[in-house]
Amino acid sequence: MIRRILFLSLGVVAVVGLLCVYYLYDPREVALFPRCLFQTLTGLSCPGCGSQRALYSIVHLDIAEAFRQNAFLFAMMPLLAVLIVADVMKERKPLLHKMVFSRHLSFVVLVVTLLWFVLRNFFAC
Amino acid sequence: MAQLIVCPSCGAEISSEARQCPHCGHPIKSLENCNGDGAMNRKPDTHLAKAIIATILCCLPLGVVAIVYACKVDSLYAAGDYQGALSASRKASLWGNWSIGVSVFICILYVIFYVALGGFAFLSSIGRTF
Repeated sequence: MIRRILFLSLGVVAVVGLLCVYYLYDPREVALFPRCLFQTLTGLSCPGCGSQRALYSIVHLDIAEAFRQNAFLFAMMPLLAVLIVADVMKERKPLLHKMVFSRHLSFVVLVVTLLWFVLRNFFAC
Repeated sequence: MAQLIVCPSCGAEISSEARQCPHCGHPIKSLENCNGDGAMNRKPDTHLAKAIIATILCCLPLGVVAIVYACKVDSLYAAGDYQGALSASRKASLWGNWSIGVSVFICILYVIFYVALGGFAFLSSIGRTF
C-alpha cells in the first residue's frame, strides 16, 4: 500500500513537473527538447511528431494551435482515457472491459494510425 | 482429450472437439478458447493503451508494431486460437515496452548531451572572460 502511494505520488510529481517544463519553455525555441529520431533519420513525420509542440499549446490554452500541430492527439487522448479507466477497473467491472476492448477496436486504431501517418506526410500537416 | 460439453443452441451434450453441433448444426467455433473445465478463457490483454502511448509520445514508429500485435490478439482469439492470442498479447506488451523504453533512453541521453554541452560552453566562456 505504501509502495503504491509512493509510486502514485512520484507519477503525479513527474507529470506536474513535465507540464511546468512545457509551460515555461517552448520546444520550438529551446534546443534541450529531444527531437524525433525518425524524423531526423528519414525527414518524414512520424504519427507522434508535434506532440511536444501540441502539449506546449495545450498548457497555454491555445487549442487551435495544438490541433494544427498534432490532430491525432485529439482523437487518441479521449480513447486513451477510456482504455486506461477500463483497464484499471478490469476486476470490478469486467463487462465494461469486455465492451471497451471489443473485437475491432485495435484494428480501427491501426487503420486510423496508418492513415494519419501517410496522409500527414502527403499534406505536410 | 475430447469431453462432453453442452451445445449453447439446443442444449444437447456434444463432444468438445466437434466443429459444429451434430444435432442442430450450431457452429462451435471458439472451442479452443475453453480451458480444462469447459469454461471460456478470457481474451488475453491487447495492451492497446500502451501501444497508443508508445505511438503518440515516443516518436518512434515501433508503437505501430505493438498495435499490429494487438489486432492479432483480437483476430486469433475470435478464430478460437487461444494460445496464439496469448503469444501475440505477450509480443504486443514487449514491443510497447521496448518502444517506450528506447524513447525514454534517447530522451535522457539527449538531455545529458545538451546539459554537458551547455556546461562546456559556460566553462569556456568563463575562460574567455578572465
